[in-house]
Amino acid sequence: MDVFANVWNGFWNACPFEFCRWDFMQRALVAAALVGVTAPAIGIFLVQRRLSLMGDGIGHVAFTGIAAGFLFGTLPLVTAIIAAVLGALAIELMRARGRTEGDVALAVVFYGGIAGGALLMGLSGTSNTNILTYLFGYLLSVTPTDILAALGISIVVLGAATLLRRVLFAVSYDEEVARASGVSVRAVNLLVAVAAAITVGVTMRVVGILLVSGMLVLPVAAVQQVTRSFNATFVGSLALGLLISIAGVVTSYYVDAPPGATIVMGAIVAFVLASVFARARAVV
Amino acid sequence: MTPHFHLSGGTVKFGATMALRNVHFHLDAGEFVVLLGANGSGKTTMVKALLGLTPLSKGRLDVFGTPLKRFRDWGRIGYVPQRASAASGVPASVYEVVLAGRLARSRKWGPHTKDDARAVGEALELVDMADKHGEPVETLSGGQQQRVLIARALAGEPDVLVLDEPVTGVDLEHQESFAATLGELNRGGRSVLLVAHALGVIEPLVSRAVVLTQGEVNYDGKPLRELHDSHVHHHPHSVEEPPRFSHPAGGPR
Repeated sequence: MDVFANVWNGFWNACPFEFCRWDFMQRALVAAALVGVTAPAIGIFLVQRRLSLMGDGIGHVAFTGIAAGFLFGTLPLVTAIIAAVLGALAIELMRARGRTEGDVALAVVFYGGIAGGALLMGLSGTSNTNILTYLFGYLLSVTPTDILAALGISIVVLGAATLLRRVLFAVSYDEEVARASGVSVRAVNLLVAVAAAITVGVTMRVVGILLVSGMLVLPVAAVQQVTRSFNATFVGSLALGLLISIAGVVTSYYVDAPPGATIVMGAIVAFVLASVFARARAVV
Repeated sequence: MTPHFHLSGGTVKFGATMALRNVHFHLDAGEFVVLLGANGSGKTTMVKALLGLTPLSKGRLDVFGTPLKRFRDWGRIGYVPQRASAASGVPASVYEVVLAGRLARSRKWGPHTKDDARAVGEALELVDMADKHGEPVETLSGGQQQRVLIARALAGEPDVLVLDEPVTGVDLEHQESFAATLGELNRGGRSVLLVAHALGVIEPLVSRAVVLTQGEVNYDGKPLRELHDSHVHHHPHSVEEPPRFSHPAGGPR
């Protein structure tokens, strides 16, 4: 661990800015960067399948998980991820069965998640300020354990998204043809749902439950307006996610704003700029 | 020779509706079969059943001599669905879409191989789209998008091509060039199963026509000229449809 500590300290000492001196900022920057680069890697497959709001549905279920954590006195992050995985599987199964329309399935999960969370929070007697930190993020109180969790999940999700990109692309581009090519579409969809759920689990640490989907979807939505291929969109949205996360944390330090909201506003600005650029290019 | 597809007593039910009733069908190596029928006659259901996309409620299906359940050699089948009308949110280049058709023949993880790149290149050459490989599919014309989907099916180097109303909404000139491409592929040894509204420009290529009416096969034989005038005249219960290979109004069904 000494080597790691040396690298860590050396890196931050070399940083010329004042905010790099603070422990909480160092951890916030690393956590935001990890989430910023990971969330779009899974978000792109949700956008491609027109399931942009799935991340939101998962986040709402995670809220019930957090509340369960408070009620039973366990670590809220763990129960949140468990609830998120279950919620994601439920959405995916309802969607695949075709009995329920995708948006109705999402509605059930959205309101079920929030109602369940509010109910359990009430039962456990959690304070309102505590609830707010989960709704809007609590990046500045990120612990080293959180960072390790984010690092592990980032490696797994980025690794899977990169290695299996051709299969994931084929399934989200044309499910039927992928099935006729012998791809186990159901397994792939469940994999994406689980990956989305654990990504939501760590992302909500940074931007909060209510903004979690923004991190998954907005960088992709911005970049896809100016790209011409899936690969370029993939690489571009990871880069944009990283950029807005770091820029958001730094901005929030100077203007004393909540970092989660600042990051997502940055993504919105990028989206608007990309739209304007795409329009201008179409006209010229 | 083992038939590429052999369906006996194929029945498909959607709830209380019989979409396919006791259908017997085979497709032999090298054949060019056109599957005709009005809207709702069960053509698409039959194609999906042959590909294992829609489960049979009764009957038996062998694909390349293997019962469907145990069939794994999906690379031997190239499937061109009815136009993928719902363009996805994220742009995809022609090359990427065609490469996706290679999955059945290549490993599922990691970057694509040289062999994949060769097959994609050849498929794009065959449909005359090699110069457009970097273009986003969404910006292409309907006819060009159709050729991309055919190239995707060809990238797997299949022995049989299954096409579901591929020229819906495509103008006559492109239909003719499309028919020429199909003829070339068929002469090159691939068998073809093509779903269509009526014979039209492909008539000279077809070795056998199968007509579905309300989920039942009611003709299986030589492509007779009167099939031009639509089978609907013989079956007053069928939905009236203009007996055209192309459908001027376009739109997926």
